[in-house]
Amino acid sequence: MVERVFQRPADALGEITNHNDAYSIDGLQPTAVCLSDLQGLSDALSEAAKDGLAVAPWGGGTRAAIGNRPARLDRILDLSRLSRIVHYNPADLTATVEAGISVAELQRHLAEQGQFLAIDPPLPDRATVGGTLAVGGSGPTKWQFGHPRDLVLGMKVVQADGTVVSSGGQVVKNVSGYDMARLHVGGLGTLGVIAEVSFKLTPLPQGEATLVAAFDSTTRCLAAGLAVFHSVVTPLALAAYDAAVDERAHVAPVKGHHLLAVRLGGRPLTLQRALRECRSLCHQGGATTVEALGEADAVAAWRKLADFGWDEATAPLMSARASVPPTKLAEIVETIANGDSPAALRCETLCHVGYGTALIHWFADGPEPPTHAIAEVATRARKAVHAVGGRMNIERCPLPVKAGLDMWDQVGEPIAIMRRLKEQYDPGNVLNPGRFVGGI
Amino acid sequence: MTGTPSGEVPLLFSGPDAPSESDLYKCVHCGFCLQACPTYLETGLETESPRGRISLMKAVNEGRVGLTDGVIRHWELCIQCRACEVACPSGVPYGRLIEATMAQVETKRKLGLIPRIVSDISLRRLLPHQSRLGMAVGALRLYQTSGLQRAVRKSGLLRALSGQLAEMEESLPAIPGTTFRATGQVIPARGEVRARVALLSGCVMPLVHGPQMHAITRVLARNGCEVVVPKAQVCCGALNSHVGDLETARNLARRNIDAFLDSGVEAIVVASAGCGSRMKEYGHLLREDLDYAEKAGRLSAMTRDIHEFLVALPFEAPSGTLDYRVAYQDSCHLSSAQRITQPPRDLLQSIPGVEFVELPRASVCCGAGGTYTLTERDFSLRLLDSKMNDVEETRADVVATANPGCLLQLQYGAAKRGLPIDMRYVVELLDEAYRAEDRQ
Amino acid sequence: MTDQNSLITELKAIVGDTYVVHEPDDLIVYEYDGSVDKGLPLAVVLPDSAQDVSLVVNAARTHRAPIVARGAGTGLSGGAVASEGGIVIALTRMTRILEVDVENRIAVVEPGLVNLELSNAVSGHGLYFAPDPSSQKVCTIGGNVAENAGGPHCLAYGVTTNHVLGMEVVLADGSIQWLGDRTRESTGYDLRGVLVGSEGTLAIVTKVILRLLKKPEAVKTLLAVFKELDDASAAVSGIIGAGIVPAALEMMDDLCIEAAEASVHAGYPDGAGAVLLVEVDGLSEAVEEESEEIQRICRQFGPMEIRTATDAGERERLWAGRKGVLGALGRLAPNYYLVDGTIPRTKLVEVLARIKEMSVESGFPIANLLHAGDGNLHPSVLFDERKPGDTKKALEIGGRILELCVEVGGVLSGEHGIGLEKQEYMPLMFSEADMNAMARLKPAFATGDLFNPGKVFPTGASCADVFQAAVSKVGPGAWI
Ligand SMILES: Cc1cc2nc3c(=O)[nH]c(=O)nc-3n(C[C@H](O)[C@H](O)[C@H](O)COP(=O)(O)OP(=O)(O)OC[C@H]3O[C@@H](n4cnc5c(N)ncnc54)[C@H](O)[C@@H]3O)c2cc1C
Ligand code: SF4
Ligand code: SF4
Repeated sequence: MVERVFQRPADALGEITNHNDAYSIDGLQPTAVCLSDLQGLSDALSEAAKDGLAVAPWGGGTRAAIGNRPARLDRILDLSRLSRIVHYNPADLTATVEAGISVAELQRHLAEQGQFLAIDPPLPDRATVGGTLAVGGSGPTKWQFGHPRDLVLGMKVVQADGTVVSSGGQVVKNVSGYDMARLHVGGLGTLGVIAEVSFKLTPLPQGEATLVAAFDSTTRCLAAGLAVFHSVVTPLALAAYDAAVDERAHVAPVKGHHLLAVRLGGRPLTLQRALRECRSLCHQGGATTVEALGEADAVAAWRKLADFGWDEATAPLMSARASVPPTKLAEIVETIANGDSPAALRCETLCHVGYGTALIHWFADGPEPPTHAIAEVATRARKAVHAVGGRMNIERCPLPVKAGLDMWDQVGEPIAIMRRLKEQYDPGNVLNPGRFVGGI
Repeated sequence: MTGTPSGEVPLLFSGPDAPSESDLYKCVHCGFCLQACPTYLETGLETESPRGRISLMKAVNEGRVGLTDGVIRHWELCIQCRACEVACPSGVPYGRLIEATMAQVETKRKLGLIPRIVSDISLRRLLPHQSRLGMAVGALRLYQTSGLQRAVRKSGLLRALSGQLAEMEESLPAIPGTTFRATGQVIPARGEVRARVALLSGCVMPLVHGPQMHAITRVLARNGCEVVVPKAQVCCGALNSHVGDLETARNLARRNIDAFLDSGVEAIVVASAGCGSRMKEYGHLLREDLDYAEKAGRLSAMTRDIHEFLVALPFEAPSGTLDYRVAYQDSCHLSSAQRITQPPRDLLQSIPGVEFVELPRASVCCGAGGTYTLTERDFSLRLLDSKMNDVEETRADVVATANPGCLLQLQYGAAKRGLPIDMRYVVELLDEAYRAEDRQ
Repeated sequence: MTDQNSLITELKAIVGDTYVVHEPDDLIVYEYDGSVDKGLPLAVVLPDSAQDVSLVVNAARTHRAPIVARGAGTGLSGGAVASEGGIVIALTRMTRILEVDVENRIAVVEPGLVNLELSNAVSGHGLYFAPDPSSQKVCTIGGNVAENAGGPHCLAYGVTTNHVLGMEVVLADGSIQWLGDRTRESTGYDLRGVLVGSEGTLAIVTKVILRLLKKPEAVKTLLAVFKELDDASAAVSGIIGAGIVPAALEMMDDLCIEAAEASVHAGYPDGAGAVLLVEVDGLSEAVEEESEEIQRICRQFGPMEIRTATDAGERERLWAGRKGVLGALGRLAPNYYLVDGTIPRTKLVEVLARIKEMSVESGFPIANLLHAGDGNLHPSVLFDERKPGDTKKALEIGGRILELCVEVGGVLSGEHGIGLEKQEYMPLMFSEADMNAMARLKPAFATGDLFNPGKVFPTGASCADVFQAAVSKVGPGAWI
């Protein structure tokens, strides 16, 4: 069923679909409007604000369930058609794109010019640029290139009242005005809808190689990863994953208790040297096997590692992302994955060594345990993370668990500032109400 | 305004010795000098920084403030180490500015009792007159060797009178039996004559460090220099200009010009960094003196610091061995005023067996600063304390330096902490090495 | 007056007499920073801890006195100038390195710490702090955070914001809070991220958690001399296009070369129109391979000469001309007005040509030195302030250059900030709505206009007023 809501020329109108299952968030089934330009988005928002509707921006829907259950939800703003490349200047290594373009499509364009955007979210064919930024998530390449927020040069955002505002610019060095984009990266669309983003791009390395090393203990594997982190080599990505992850996703044809994947890039001699260094570091660290993957295997391995926990085949019952000081990874993986658990859940981990991220996934081998037991697993894991000075957000879990458990870790006193930010930019509580930290 | 009793008219800069505007306004307040300044490093206060001191000069020059005690105080706290001059990218001649400023202050300064006595007695009555100074030092030596010193120290009399006096008494140098006198003597070169030079005997060094002066002549002779020590020479006048007494300084300069200029030498070698830097600037000091301006310029051009001279000669590396771990403290008037930092290090490193260690922050003043150690006792000791921390860190057996003030200050610093560290002149060590080779 | 006295008494009770500067004569030394702007504060306080800062903030708020934070006062846009009076909080006593966590490559420091001191302190562990503004020997970490400072080596390693993990701040209500922590990802809004570069308008930073980088195995510097500026620009594009991100990529034009040649005798060939300085670092193999490639690219554009160096002393000599250029400009004219703006790298040729036109039209020589790798321009308009009217004209040219930067898709400032200097230019880049959105950060941080009021946002004054009475702002021997 389609409703028209805007008094605008027909070709610029968004379409509103009713109760489309595809747009459900946490069991709520709002109407949806699909937008194809900035003006439409702006109109849709001012309309919603006027009508007091609660809206959720929607990219590819790959992580629609992130966050707490929405307090209200009336309408989805589907941005997947807001997907133009506004401006791409390869010689400048910058591009400005609309938020709804899928990461994979953007990467295809960039690759033609030998460049890429250094973010690799799960399911890039569906994941949009805007959505990826809004959840602040990336994949293993952030190891070298940093958090996605560090790649954003400028941003156009549509505020809750429909006002379009810009910040930053299209150049790589800029200190003109406040760096507003930082609020929206990881802000889950609660302060405004990301509409257009200017990015800093990276040249594709001339050559690439991937090593996978197997270890017979988690500690040894992570220690070897840290040794690479401290060495003269700067890998493109550095990930450690356990045997269970490998069994489930068939990451690479190398088997062991815990595995370390090192992605290297560079010109031929550089690559050879880096491979040599990493090989010997792995051997010194007690690796049982160290193998270089063929090109196809390597591409597949990194894709699987980035997608793990998000694609159909590996979808867990619950996942969490913990961020800790790099040296503490081994400790929390040991306590969380290998410690005893209050519920019959199998814990599998994937770590970005050196960066300090642990992606923790729980799978139910048998029937799903009771809600309170699942929540208890999460709470204990969070405690372990806090004990080493880190934070843990839950990115996915059964809906009933959300009722009694905050998906977001505590943010402490600054929550007051965050609440006031929300009041400033979205006083009517239009954008994604209730899904973010502290009930924002 | 601060410190100006009501009704008193504030004094502005005036006369030929006022700081020159073109020098003053070269300062663009960029702040690059801050980290070089010992008094700023110690306090973190802009009022005690070069940039602050210059801006106060500008303010007085512009008539925004008067020459108040408060303003003067900030200039007095300047050690005149001139480290700021080295750091300044704009070429602000700070040394010249502060000298001119202190000359303006001279008439107005209200010194505390002890600083006044010290400056009065030592600068106006003693230093200009070698014989009187000789008597004073002789009396001091008598005081030290006769047992009177011990008695006084034991009695606590001084401390009871004034803590400051007692401290100063404790820091009095031990006066050796051997002195050095300028009698017009000629010290022949050893071996082939490579150069004929005149030696500045100075005022303090020959009395307090007589044996070292003899060592210096030996080193010069050992390197083929015939050394003349003109009898008519007097104190260089550095300490007088330090406190703004330019008239006495100019008189002394004229007498030295008469004494040295016709001695038929290629260079005037100066072993004390403070005197060397003063003499190299006679040209500027006497720029307005019709009779002397040209001669002063010539004398300045002939003046050589001993380390600079020896390295340029070039000196012969000794073959005698000294088994010391040696650190070098830059004397400000060598490193900053004369920009000579490498030659003393070269000399030290040429000595077989010497293990040379860099003193952290070697270029930061030790707090001696001419009469500073007497007039600004508290501050001088604070700086010395920081310096001694660094000295201890080097674990050196010997700290070498290039100026009598520094040497005495460091000796006092070591004695205060009971450190078994020898404080020596660079050239004195060289002499020791030459003598060791003679013995071999 | 009594109110002011009681405020000073309160301040003294917090930090002690020595560390409250309030005599009118003394305050003169706190009226400036590295820019042309001036303003006398009511008092300057030097706190020793976050607690001190918090108490000072409370006292100031009660007395309705604005607060201006101050590091070393090297800022070039007037950020640390008390333009509306009030209390300056100088953080120059809070200089401690509280912790160095070598394994996690993290340092926790106080804001008054001088940038280079941090690198020096961790150098023994093979680490360094990457942002290297040319003022790094004196500027403070707090100032770097507030201005989001960059430097020549930020091309490859990013500016300050990429290296700040978390910080302790004092808010306008006096509360002491942590934004961000020791980890790379944050929960909730990235408040740390907006605070970096906010020019002291949102909070006072009292501790900073910084990332440290490991020192590269090898470094190589290349110097290429070209006849034409266009060839050098083309080489820059070629290098970037070849997928090389050098650690630094600097350029200067014929006027700079002429000046540098006269003062530091850098030995550039006669008739040189542009000099390119490129630094690559990393694995020794990478350094070799990339420098080979860079030389190959440079050779395509007919360089007059290419020189390379790997040891520290030799590299320093190659940099000498570049680093000495500001000082050298003093030989060409008594004053210069240094502009800071960024353009897309591909517009380099166009913009430099138009700057040349402006120079020819106006008769004012303009020397260009550029962080070419990231498109950050520093055109310096040469003039003589003793000629009536010339200062004003030079400043107007500066303004036109900024307009040009924005017109070609660039921005108002690449590294020196907006502050008081460029606030009136903000509308060139941002709409009312854009600026309104930015301004709302203040109520969100509940600053009540306590911190650094009157900065960053336009006040409605004309740009020419703002640029009055300028002199060359940067010491000529400094390098930018
Ligand atoms: C010769 C020269 C060269 C320069 N080169 C560069 C360069 O290459 N790159 C570059 O980016 N900049 C450069 N600068 C500009 C300047 O050095 C930087 O902006 C630097 O970061 C300022 O640091 P500071 O300690 O001097 O800060 P200040 O000038 O004292 O203050 C700058 C701003 O920071 C705020 N602030 C300071 N401390 C705090 C704190 N603790 N909490 C909150 N706010 C605070 C102040 O309120 C002010 O707004 C240069 C300056 C000069 C004079
Ligand atoms: S001479 Fe020394 S003490 Fe005086 S301002 Fe310069 S650096 Fe500071
Ligand atoms: S470095 Fe030079 S120009 Fe800069 S403030 Fe100091 S004296 Fe002035």
